[in-house]
Amino acid sequence: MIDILLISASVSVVILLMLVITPLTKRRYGAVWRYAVWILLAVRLLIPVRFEPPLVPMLPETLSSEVAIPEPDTAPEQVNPVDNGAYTPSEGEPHMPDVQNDTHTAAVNAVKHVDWEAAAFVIWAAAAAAFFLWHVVSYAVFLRRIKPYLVKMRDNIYSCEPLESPVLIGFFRPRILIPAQDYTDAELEIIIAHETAHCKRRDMWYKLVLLAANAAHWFNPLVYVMVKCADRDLEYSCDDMAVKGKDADYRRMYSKVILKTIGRK
Amino acid sequence: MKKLPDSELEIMLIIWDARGAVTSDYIMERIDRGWTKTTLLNLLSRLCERGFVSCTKEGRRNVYTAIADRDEYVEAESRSFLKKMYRNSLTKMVASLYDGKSVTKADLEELKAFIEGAEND
Repeated sequence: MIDILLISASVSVVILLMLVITPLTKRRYGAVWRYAVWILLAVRLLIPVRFEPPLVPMLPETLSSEVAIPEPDTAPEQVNPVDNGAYTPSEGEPHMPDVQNDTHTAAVNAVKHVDWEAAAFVIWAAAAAAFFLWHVVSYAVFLRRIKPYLVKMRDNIYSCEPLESPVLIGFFRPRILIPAQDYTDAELEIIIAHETAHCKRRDMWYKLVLLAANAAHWFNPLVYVMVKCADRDLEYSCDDMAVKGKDADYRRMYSKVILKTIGRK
Repeated sequence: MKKLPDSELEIMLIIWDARGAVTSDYIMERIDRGWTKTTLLNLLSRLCERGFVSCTKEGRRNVYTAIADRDEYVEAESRSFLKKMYRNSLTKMVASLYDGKSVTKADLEELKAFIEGAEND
């Protein structure tokens, strides 16, 4: 449990760094490498192993032999297990009252310690699962809802009337959905180019990993910020891909279409 | 205008497309699901009750005509349900062509300059 908090904290530092750097890097090149950094951070957030050095600073040689630095995980093992029943005042052995009191306190502490950690874990797991499930379920509901409206245009491109904007759906059979707007042929090609770029890069999986990381770190507001930034950099780097090597006319048309779509909301 | 369940919506879309009175056989031919005639007739009578279609007898058969307005329904669908989905959760799961709410005016300007200004990549 502690691990997750420490991992969250250390990644938060990196997120803050990224937020500071972002306005300073030219967005044109910035988006692409930021896109990569975010996914690395997300993966890191999902690995429950601490690589960071212990928080206690390294003491010089002369002192370390005299000071015992307790590892959080070993603390419970130092106390007596509680499973031998409630504290009984006497076992028929001649114990010193002080020793019995220590044992009692230690046993009580052990109970408190174990329960608290278990409770925290359960709360964390329940919230993470709820977070993740809610998104997955609403995605499934969305798919069911639009299914009757899907009309195949060509390849993996479908028209879907009530949509507000073009969308890429599906993880194993990606499909591009186009709303019923008045797009010219040229505009349609641009939209398809953009969504196809997402598709080629498997961005649906990218977003799923981010979602999982967000679920696991539901308690950390910076992770929500990270997801938002990642979404934005995802889009910008996608545009980057889509206009690569294209001439100025194409780029002008491209930006017009994108802005038109955004403006529509 | 109430939201229709999937099955009824599929039927309505067929009826709307037909632009006229249709029989249940007509619908049966165009439905992709493995429904029995009885299932279809049940759904049709439900649509009748909701006031989406009218059911009249022509000779020995029933014909169905759309009463509800298609544009109105699709518009409502788009506005209410799908818009809500977008706002809440969808953007985390699908790659859409930008999520309007998180793009500011400054972003738009920047985007425009970026796309149009980027030469010699």
